[in-house]
Amino acid sequence: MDILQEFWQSTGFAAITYKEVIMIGIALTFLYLAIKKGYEPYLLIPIAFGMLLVNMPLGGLMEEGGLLYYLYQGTDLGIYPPLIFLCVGAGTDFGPLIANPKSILLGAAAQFGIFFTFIGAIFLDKILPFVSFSGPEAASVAIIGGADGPTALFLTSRLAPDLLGPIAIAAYSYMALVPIIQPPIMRALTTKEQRQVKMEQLRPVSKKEKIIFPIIVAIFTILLLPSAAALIGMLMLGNLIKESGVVPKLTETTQNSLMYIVTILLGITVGAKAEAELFLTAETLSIIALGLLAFSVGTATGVLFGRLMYKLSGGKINPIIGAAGVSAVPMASRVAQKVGQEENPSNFLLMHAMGPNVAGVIGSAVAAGLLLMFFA
Amino acid sequence: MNLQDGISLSEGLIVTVFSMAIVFATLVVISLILTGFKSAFYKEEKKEPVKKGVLPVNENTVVENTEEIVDNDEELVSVIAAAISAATGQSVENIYIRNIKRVSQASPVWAMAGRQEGIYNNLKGH
Repeated sequence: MDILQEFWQSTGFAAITYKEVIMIGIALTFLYLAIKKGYEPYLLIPIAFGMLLVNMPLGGLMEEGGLLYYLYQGTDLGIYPPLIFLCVGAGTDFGPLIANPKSILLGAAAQFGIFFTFIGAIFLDKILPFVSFSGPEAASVAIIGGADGPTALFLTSRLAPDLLGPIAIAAYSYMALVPIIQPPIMRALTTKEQRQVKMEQLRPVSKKEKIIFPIIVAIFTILLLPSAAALIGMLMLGNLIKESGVVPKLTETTQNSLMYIVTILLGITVGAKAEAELFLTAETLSIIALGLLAFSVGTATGVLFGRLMYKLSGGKINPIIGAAGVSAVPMASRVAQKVGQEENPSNFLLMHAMGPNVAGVIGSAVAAGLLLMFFA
Repeated sequence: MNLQDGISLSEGLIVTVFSMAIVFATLVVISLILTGFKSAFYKEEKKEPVKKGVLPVNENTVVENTEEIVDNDEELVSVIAAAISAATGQSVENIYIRNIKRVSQASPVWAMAGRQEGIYNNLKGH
């Protein structure tokens, strides 16, 4: 009888707490959303499963010596997110940006969502007694507005590792919800006439320009802001590998195998940071709310800046491409294309929106570098 | 500015204004560099006057009225538009045909015959 009791005590069934049960429930819901509904399955499956594993009592996967503990070092030390940036760089075409340099400014305007949320988080900390965000935590929450998963994870792992779980989940959820969140904001802030604007065809960009671009941007940005070196450096290296055209095998590897390998490792370890004790707090709810705010404000300021450029260009720039200034490549561009085409079926905004879209990636990496400089 | 221990709203505002200024400045400089790219690497191609396309006419046939060929083309366009519409389920109004090019025959005659037979059998089945 004693043996039976001892065995029972050693099982997870006896040790499980109600919070862990809730977390397992959340993990299962995410798995359902990923597999059945197809929401970002590539990320959500590993994240949800990591969440499931870490909330199994007595498994000890995240304790020193556990498998996930070691895998998590890649996230904690800021290795995986820049590697993802390497892969993203290898898959990004900066051609539309090079062809239309003005569109870069839209990518800058959309970063306002980050700083608006930063102020919002500090404000909540001051007025709500049950919410507390320190400066680095406020910065980590705000970066959700950059709509750039790897950047958010990179900054959070440096500044507020405890918030990694909720921030990753908020950031990736909103990125998946781009087609739902952005169109109403775009329509509310522009007139029908503005949304119908057809833009001039982009000039062709030579291979030489595409090769020089990543080198120059890397040199200039890293000299200006050394703290952004990891992200910008890897992004531009990935792009140079692709544009150089002389290392097709490396391009192929970074675009595919490496991307998937790092995604699995990053996903499972980020999920593993969603431990019940850390996750089920008032902060998590405010992170989810602030994340949505960050994302919406970023979209709105992008569109408003687009309106300004519409005025200044004498009606040549369609303001809805400003919404693509939040990163979320290429989803935000596709949404701009779709909304534009609804208003005017012969409108093709996709390539024009790609300019602000990839500028948004550079912009949010710069913003992350700045926040890192202030708070690390 | 020591921000590690806690941050006040006014410090937050300073960080915001400074950071947004730097983000803008960085991207403005990149934008200027790219404008320089345009003048350094890109020479606008001179627009050649568009030559009027001469319709290929088989030497053996005598075409008395070119209007007919144009008419036939329109017919072809509408047939292709209808086929695309049927295949994709989109309404014809949403399909914009900009260009139709004849692809030179690549597959051998026997393959064409087989394909036609397949299509015919399919049609018979319905």
